[in-house]
Amino acid sequence: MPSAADFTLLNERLTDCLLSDGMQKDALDPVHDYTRTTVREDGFFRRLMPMVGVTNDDLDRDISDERMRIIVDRQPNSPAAVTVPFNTGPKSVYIRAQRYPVYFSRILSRRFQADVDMLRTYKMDVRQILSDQAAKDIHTEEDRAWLDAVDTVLGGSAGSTILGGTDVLWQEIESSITRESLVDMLKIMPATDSHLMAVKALTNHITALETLKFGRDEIGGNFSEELFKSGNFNFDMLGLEFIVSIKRDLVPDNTYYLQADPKFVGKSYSVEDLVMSVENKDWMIKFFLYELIGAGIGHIKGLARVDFV
Amino acid sequence: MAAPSLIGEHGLNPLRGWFDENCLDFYAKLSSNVTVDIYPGRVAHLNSSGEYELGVSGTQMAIFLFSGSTDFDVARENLSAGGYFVSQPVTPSGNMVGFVASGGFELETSEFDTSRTYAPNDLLTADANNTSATLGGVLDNKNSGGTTLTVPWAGGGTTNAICGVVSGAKYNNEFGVPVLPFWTVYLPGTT
Repeated sequence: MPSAADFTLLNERLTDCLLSDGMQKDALDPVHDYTRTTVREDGFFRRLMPMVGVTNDDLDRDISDERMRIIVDRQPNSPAAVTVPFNTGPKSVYIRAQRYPVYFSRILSRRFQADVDMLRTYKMDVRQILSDQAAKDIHTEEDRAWLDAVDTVLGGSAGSTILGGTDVLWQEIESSITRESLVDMLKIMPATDSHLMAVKALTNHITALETLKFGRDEIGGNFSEELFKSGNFNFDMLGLEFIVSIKRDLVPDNTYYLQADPKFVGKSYSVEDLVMSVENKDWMIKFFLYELIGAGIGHIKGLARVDFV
Repeated sequence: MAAPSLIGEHGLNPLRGWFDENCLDFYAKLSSNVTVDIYPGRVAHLNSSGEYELGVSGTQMAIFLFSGSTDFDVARENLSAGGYFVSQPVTPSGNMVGFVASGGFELETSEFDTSRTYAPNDLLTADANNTSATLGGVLDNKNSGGTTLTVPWAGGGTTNAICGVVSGAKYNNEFGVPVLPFWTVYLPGTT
């Protein structure tokens, strides 16, 4: 069992770290004797839309705004071919394609600050804990912004048509989650004229637990027994990469977000990935985290949402 | 084709008081009641939903917008004028940054009534108008009747909320754009 002297040494190390030069970030091992209250997870947005690092050279300029954007080309449609009689030729169509902008924003954590002498009596590395949580908070904001954008382009509610279109890609399925209803879910996205299949599915952990109810007749073989024994609900099926999140406030129960390959959906860029800014002045320590990213949905028919009701 | 606007053609320049972690800046979304594009430099206040509407009156706290509504880090437009899907921005949140009047700034704005004359210590207000691009949130030193502003409690004085005090003469900035320097203040009125 750690002695009082051990704790004293650890607190001295913590104080030394906090009083060191501004940008030095020592990695202290977490103190494991504090009581946890919440499970935190990394974000799911980057698993849905992997980020591409970009530099100033990749940015497109504008005469009206100094801020950052990248203009992305979008695949053009082409008119159908026709069967014609003799003595005629093809009609013309001008070669052109649309583009869309991806804008950038900074995501910030709060600024954490304290009189460093007020931290001496903590046994846990409160600075490290808060900085780790701040990083996850930034990922949570990415997740929130992504799902807000997805819900917006899908029309804002179940049964609505997509923005600027007539397809309904946010649907309710009146069923519990079964093998049959999950297959019905898969039919929604390919039913548009884009003919896309979902390759990723996002749901929350409560909904994912439903798969543990699948019997041998639904899930086949001994897998049902394996699931029951292991309780492992985090597995891929139906050709989908399943992403399970504990963020029920963002991903409602009994809801699946489906997504095609990211190249059919949009773009996700990173100019500056997570940075910690640390400042020490006399006995005050301050730090916050930030990142600079940009993302945009350029094609709606690679997205769908299903609510099981 | 709509004429383009140039960087610096409309804007707010913080002369003193920004950028510091203690400066009283603020961010919020623009209310859907505002139906025109907003340039940086316009004056806004928070409505009961915590969203910006233009101008200031009564006890409203003036917030001087540093963002424009079409800025790349604000705009959330997703449809073309013809109703076709363009794209859905993910990262711009729609929030616009502004400087709170009580925060003690000296600012320089292009968004003021350039037809009037101004002298140091003139009081400033901004019309509450969500639908006029030429009037909404534009600073001037008069009330709606054209009377030069005085303190609201002065006998026979104007009753408008005051949000600024002129700190120098109107002049043309480095872009040739007329600008007016002023200090931000919070001085509520009855209108």
